[in-house]
Amino acid sequence: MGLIDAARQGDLDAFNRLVLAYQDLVYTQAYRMMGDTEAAEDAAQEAFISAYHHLNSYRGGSFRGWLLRIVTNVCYDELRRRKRRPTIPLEPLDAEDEEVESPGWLADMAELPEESAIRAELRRAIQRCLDELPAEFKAMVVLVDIQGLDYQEAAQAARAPVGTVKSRLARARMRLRDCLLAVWELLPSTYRLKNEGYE
Amino acid sequence: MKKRLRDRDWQDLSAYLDGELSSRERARLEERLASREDLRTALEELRRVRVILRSQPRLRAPRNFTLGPAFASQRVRRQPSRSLSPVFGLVSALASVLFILVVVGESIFGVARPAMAPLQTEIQAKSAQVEMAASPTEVSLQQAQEFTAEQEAAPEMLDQSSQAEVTSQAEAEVFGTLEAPLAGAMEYPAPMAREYDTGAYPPPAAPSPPALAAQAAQQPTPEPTQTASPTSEAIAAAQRAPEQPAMTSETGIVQPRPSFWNTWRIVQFGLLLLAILSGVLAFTWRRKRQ
Repeated sequence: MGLIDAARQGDLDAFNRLVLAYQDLVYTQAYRMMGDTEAAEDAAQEAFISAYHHLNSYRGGSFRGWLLRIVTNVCYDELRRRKRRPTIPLEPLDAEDEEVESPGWLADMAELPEESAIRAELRRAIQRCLDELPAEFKAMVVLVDIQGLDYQEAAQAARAPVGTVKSRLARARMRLRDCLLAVWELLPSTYRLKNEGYE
Repeated sequence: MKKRLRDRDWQDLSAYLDGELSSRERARLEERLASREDLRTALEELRRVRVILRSQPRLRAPRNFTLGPAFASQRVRRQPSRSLSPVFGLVSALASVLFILVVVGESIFGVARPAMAPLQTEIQAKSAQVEMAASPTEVSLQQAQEFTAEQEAAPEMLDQSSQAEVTSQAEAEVFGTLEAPLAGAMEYPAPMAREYDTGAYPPPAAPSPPALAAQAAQQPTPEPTQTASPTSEAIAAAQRAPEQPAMTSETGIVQPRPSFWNTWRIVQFGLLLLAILSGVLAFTWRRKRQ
């Protein structure tokens, strides 16, 4: 909280330390919302600039929830501007209707060099499924299931009541069933085994 | 065959996975899960979706998003407006309180018709002075002037209809009229005052208060004992004197029925409008800043 107070007093260094602490969180949200790295970088940068200018509107509570609200709103605005354009282009198909690895996909893989091919494929598959959702549902499932927020924090970030969080999250998961269950086998076996048999 | 679940079922299952159901809701759902396979299947599907999504690590930012030195001069915006929302709220609260006070005050004073009684008593006392006075003309003129001053001094105590009533009664006291109308003071004809006849006019009409009527009837009695010249002078003076109370009565008569839009109403309306506008502005400003 000391960094936040200092930043509110005009200490740019204090604010930049906050940026370093939260930029992975903000970038992840932006990437999952926008679906591509370039748009995610732009959205993350815009979100931090907006946060700096509106620090006085932060009134306590979850600072990460407050930051996520800003980046989510930035993404909403951008998605509305691009709503007639697909968020992620589908992979081109060759003559046998097989997917072709495009340079774009390869570049995405290059973004996270430590990733294995399977993890990269899983990430892309999940992102493709997320991109089929309406923006509000996508934001909710990313906030709760990927960012790890609880319902209260997600309500703050989405500026919606907890009941709306509950409803949107359930509907998002319901829609993701068929798409995501297809990649269940891509999960590491140890991961699957660890999470089996909950019923 | 898969039974189609309701949206509420999916919502409960999803919240159940996240531990966001109350203990009562949880118990009820577990009871249903025990008896319905379709619910158990849906729950398992949602659980796998959740597992897949949560398997994803947080991505690493490809670069730092720190702000450059140029931003040090671009300080936080909207700081002045921070104080406006509470100001509007305070203005709204004060206007509301004042509005309530004005309404209550008007109700109290509006119900205060008995406030006429002290005036009537005073008028009776003054009419008694008339009987004892040597010069009826001087008393008449003096009483008319005093009565006019009283009316001007205490307009808030009497509304205009009351003023007209008291005015007409005072005139009956001082000048002795054939009729002393009350609420119908607008009908009080000025020529009646000029028909001041020291000896021959009949007692006042029924609407007059009995005390005032009796005194009006008594009033002319001592006057015939006066000399002839004071009587004629009294007639001339009485013809002149009524001008002031007649003007006053005319002032009361001009507005026979009080207009809805008097000063108090305007103040009330203004305060109400101010309270509503300030409240709306405070609410809108706060939502805008959020």
